[in-house]
Amino acid sequence: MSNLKKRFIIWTCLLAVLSFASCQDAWKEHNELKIQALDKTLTEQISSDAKLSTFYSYLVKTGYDKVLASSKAYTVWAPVNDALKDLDVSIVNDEARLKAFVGNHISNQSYFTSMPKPSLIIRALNGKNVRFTSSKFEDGAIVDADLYVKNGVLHTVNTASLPRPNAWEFLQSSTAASKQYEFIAALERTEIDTTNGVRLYTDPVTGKTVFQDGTTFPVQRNIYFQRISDLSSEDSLITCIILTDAAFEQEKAKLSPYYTVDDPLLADTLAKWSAVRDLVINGVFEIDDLPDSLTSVTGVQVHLDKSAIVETRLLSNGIAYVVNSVGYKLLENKIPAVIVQGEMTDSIRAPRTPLIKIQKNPNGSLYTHIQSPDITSSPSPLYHYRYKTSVHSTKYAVYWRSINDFYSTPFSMALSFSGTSKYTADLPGLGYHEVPPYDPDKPSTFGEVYLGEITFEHYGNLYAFLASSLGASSAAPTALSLDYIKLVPVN
Amino acid sequence: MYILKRSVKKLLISGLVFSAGSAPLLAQQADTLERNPVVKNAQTIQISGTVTEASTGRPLPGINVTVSGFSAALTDENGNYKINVPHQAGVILFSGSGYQLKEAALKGRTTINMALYEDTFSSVYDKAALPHGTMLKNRIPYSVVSVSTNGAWNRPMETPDSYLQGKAAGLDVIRRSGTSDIGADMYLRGYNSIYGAKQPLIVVDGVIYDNNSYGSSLIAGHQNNPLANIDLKDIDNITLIKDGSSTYGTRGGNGVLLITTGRAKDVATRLDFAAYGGYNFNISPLPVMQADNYRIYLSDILKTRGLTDAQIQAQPYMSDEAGPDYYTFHQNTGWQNTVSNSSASQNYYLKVTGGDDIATYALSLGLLDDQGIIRNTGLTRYQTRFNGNLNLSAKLKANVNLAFTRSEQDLNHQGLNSMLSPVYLSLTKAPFLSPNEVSETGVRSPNLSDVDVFGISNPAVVVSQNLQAANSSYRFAGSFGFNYLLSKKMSLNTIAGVTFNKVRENSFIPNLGITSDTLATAIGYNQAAASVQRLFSVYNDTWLSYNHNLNANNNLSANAGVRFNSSDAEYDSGLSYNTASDDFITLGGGQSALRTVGGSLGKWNWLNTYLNVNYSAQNKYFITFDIAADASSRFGTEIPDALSIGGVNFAILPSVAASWLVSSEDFMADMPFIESLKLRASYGLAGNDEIGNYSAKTYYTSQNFLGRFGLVRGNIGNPELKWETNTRFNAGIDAAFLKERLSLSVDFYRNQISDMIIYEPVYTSTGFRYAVTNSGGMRNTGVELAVNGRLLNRENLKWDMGLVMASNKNRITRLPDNADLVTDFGGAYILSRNGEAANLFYGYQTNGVYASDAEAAASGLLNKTADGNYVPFSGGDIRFVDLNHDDIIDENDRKVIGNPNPKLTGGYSNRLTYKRWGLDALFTFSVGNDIYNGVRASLESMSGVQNQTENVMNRWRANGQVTDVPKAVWGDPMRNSRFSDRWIEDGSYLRLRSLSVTYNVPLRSQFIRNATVYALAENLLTFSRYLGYDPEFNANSGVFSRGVDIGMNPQFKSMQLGVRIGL
Repeated sequence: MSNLKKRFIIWTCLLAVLSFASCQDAWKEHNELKIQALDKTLTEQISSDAKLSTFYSYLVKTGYDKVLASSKAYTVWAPVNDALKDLDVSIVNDEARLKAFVGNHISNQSYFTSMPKPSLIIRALNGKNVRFTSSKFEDGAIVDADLYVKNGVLHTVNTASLPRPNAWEFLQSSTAASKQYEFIAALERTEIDTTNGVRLYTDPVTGKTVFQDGTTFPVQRNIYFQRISDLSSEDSLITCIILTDAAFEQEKAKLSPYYTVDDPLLADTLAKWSAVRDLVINGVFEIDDLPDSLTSVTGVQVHLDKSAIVETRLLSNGIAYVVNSVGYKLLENKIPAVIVQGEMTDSIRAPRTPLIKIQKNPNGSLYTHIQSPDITSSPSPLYHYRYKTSVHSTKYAVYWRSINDFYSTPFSMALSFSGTSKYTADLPGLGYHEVPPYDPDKPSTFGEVYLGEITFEHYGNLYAFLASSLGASSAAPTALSLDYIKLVPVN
Repeated sequence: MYILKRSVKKLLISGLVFSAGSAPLLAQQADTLERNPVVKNAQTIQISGTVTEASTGRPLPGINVTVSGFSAALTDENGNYKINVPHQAGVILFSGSGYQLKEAALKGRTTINMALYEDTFSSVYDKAALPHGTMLKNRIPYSVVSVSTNGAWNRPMETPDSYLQGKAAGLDVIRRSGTSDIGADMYLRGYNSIYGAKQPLIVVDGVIYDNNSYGSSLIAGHQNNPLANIDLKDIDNITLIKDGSSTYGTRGGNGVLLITTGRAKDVATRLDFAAYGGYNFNISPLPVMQADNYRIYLSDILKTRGLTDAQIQAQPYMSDEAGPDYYTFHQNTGWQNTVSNSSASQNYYLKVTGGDDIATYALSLGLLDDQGIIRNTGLTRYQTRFNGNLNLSAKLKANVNLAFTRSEQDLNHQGLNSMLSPVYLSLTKAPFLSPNEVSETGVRSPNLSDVDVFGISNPAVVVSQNLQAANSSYRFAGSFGFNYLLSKKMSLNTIAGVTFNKVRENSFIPNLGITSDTLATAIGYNQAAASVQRLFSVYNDTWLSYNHNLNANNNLSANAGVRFNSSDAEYDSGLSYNTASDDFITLGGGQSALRTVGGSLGKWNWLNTYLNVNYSAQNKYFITFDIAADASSRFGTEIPDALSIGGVNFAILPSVAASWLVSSEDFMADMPFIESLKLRASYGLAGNDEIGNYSAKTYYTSQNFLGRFGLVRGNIGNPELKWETNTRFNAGIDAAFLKERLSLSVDFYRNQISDMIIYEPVYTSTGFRYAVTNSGGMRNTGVELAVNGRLLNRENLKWDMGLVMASNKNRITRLPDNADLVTDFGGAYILSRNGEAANLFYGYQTNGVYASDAEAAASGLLNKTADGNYVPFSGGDIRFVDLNHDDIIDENDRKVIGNPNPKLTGGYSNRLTYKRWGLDALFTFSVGNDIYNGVRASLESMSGVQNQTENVMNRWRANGQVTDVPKAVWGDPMRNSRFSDRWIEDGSYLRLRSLSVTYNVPLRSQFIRNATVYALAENLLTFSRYLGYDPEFNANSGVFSRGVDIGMNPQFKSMQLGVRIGL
């Protein structure tokens, strides 16, 4: 019987041991890493690969080995030893440059070869954008792809990729396009950054705000970067058209008639600005898939002829084309039509507050216009609406759209222009034109009406005056009514 | 002691006056074992023999030897006796203090030697408490299990329901969670209802004990357990009546659990004191990712959210540069240990019994304090009980039971609740964060951190004092019983009881550290809530007993009576938001525009008239007939084919049971190997009246519309609604061999439930989702086995081994239109289908993960997304099996992927005593049940910022990777984590449920009667392959929540040391 007891105790103990083992095993088995590499960091993985020993030594030298051992996901495109053989010694010996070089092969997050469709632009740790396709990294071919480890993925590449310049760096270095560079570089100026400034008081003499010392600081800013596109930014990708010096001069000559001003220096700058204004396109358009027309960041359609391209350069923030000519539709596009909306008045002289109405066209679309009906007297100077706009120095065809939906008889209005804001009856213009009563069956009563042509001698500000007719009385009232005025360059 | 007696009497007298005004006073039940006085008879047979002790063979002097109603004798110093027996078919009863009670049939013999075991021995002759008195088990014709707790001194932390786990074959007991006093759900022979009551009727000292909780808890996942108000040490005996319960009519359909509390056994004053101190072991944490792997996972998942590299790197936790937030986001916190801890428990208990010839009493006081393993939770329970028996005159006896319990409990929210559940939060919270604020230099502040950068609550706040989740309850249960002897054969009995139960809950959810609630009109920053559940119930059972010996060997007894139960329940709750600050935690402090009140009322009456007839012939043929006629306020008024008296519908539920004690036949005399052999069969009806208080009526509920209140129809009333009927057939064998060294009991049963309540889906045009009808049917068939053996039987060394096990098979036999019902619970879909078990897991079948985009494309399968689009699979998605071959994976591709019902449940017990030492080991097991691991589904879904198990490190990343873990995609648009066989696990387990070592200290003192030292352990070992904290949990008692793991507080190991002293 005591045997039985012994056996019982032995069995119980055995069961207990087994159970402890099995409880642990269930989870252990469940959580076991199916691939051993998943237990290794990228640093461990690279260090264990003899083919990557040179790259690993650079990692250690630049401190990136610690980054790649940390608990974030990274992608490494590690060049094999052969690819690094011919690396410029000056890079290897310059810590900053080596760091930029190594950082060019590492990015945050995991990128697998299945992800580029067909290509991906990825920000590397050195701040540069790199290109990754299913078989290539920058210019190198991928040898071993998609080795996933604990904190990311490792690809092996057969060519080292030096960090690419961005558009601005490229422009600076470009010898063929020095004039474009010089012009844009000259647009840089010093500003006072007051974003974090602590306001003290407003100077009663100058009217300027005075900030506490040390809270504001001067910064270099380039108007081109601010208004058009920051060519030095790595945050967005652009297609940048760079004009050779000859092309730049040619463009300037072509455009200068439209920028006639009294100051010849200003005229020169305006023409140059116009020449380079429309040369940046958002997004990357490779040479093989250049569309017929590209829309620049300023909204101007430009055309690049492949035969005109002198040099193509991949950039870290896009692509640059050095060209000896650029195509665009000069009038209506480069020199756009000017539309003055009636309700956007600059000044009003009228017996009463005008009405601003939103109404429906016969086709159902909506339009907004301004009206002053029931003008029963004609003072001198006349009642008018004043508009402020800007034109190029060229000839324009003039149209308006005016709706007479309050009288059964026509009324007249005159359109005249001036470089100054004062209205006088003798300003040059297009004279009086009648506005017939509105009839939905007659497009001529609500359509655009051609008024004539006018040439402006100067580029710049222009005032347009819409004046009411003379001789109004309570028996024969007149009115002002305008949807818009349109100035179309005709040359 | 004199003073004590005096005060007891005073109390009794005042109690008498009280109850005289409140309830009819009649009489109380007779003990059927003490039958009529001795009668002389001329034709007698003389029997002689020797009584010995079974373990030693020593002769036993002073043993009572009686022939009921005829003669009596005592054994002499050599254990010999001589007694006259009136007839060959007579039986002799042996009993003695400290020894078992035993019956012996003559079988033509004139010499009967008897070996008696000690009184704690589990025997076929044990007494079982029945509704109208106690009876020896070998004379009961239906299936009962009698559990003598023997004080249960070695299970101080158990509640009566959890104590029964592994004790009774066929009673499947599942503990609800690891919360103290939460108890267990008990299912007798499977689920006998889908929407009605599923647990046995509990009757304590003759009064129905309402074990329901009224109203839902403010604390997610918690339910109040009224049965915890009975201290296990107050219980003498628990008898489970499995199929002879027609007498309880429409409330006996799930079986009846009769609990008898302790009374004074004699007039001597006895005092028992016990004290325990215990230690609860913290749970071992689940293997979730640490900070490093978590952040790598986070990089991947955020990328799929559509964030650019720059945006991801700009997240504060991604920066490894030194800065003011560096230490805030560079911790490695084991959150699971932040919310759970090892803790202490203690229990004190004092019981005094005694009295005199006129009155005896038993008075007990108890205090339980259990801190639980979730931090800042804990239970304190105070409990008192007074039981008294009075012999008021020769004919009139009375008894009184008064119990009062008070519990105060600090709780925690449970379930897959991302806002408040400490268990869930601790698993999913980002490990690089800290529970406390951390300074620029890495110094930890005592201030708790607020909601984190992801908008997830701080688990440390959820278990702090800042969050209140308190439950305080009290219950008073009092009853008076009278027993008046009308004549020698007839007595009139009555018992009247009152129950008052009140549960108050207070909840406060602070602003700091907890995700805010988005309400319809505001943001709920903090929340105060309070609720009260109230139950008042009156019960009376009055019956006439008749007991007649037709002749020396034939006995007829009958009971006819009426039971009446009237209950009134109320639930009130209030909820308000945005108090002035986290220091204002009461309901009144909230913003009045956001305050809501709610509640419910329930009032119902039940009337049960019953007749019970027992006939025994020759002491070997027994037959029992029961019939009950029940009326209830819950029944409809237009039930077809029901007996109607004065417009009231009655449920008529008869049953009949018969048994044949084969071993008492003369021809068995030559087979001394067989000690006892009984064949039983029973057939009868029982019912289930938990059909809803007002489902048969049409009612209106209030509804708020733009700030105004109105009434809307609340249901589709069904005037034909009736009780569920459970038609039960049971056949069984009770046997004992080798002088009771081996005994076994086998039962086969078939329970057919008809008129089962179904929430039948109705047309949307009715304005309701379902109507309550009697349109279902279900069947349970099964087999139960209980074996007990005394393997070693020496004077100093005894070893008892017991095994109970049961297998139940559940089948739906009828559903409206035979349509499948699919129910959603905790992320699982549960199928009820005609011909199958009522609750099958119904989900998708999977077959690994697509290793590459090409492989996924080659499959040609389209996935139906949540918004109804069809999207092709790609590499790293789960390979769902297209069962209907339409190349689309949608809800038509679901199949039965698991069955939560166990194939086998039971318990395996061992009791070893060696001299003064005792060792008790109880194992419980469950075999073949499936579990939907909802916690793991959430911890491996890879759909958000929640931390995951280490398994997700194997997630699919690149084409060609062969793994079984899909890719991590924000929001899981392909629903790779949907309810599928990936989350179905085998829930089988074997557990060393309780282990106790006791030592009886030898004493020379006259003052101390006995002293025992206990070393106890619970849940010490669990053998399971389940990938969760624990395979045992039950979110609620419903059919559909079975086996759905929604992250309840896990079971934990605990140990206690205790001492018991008797004076």
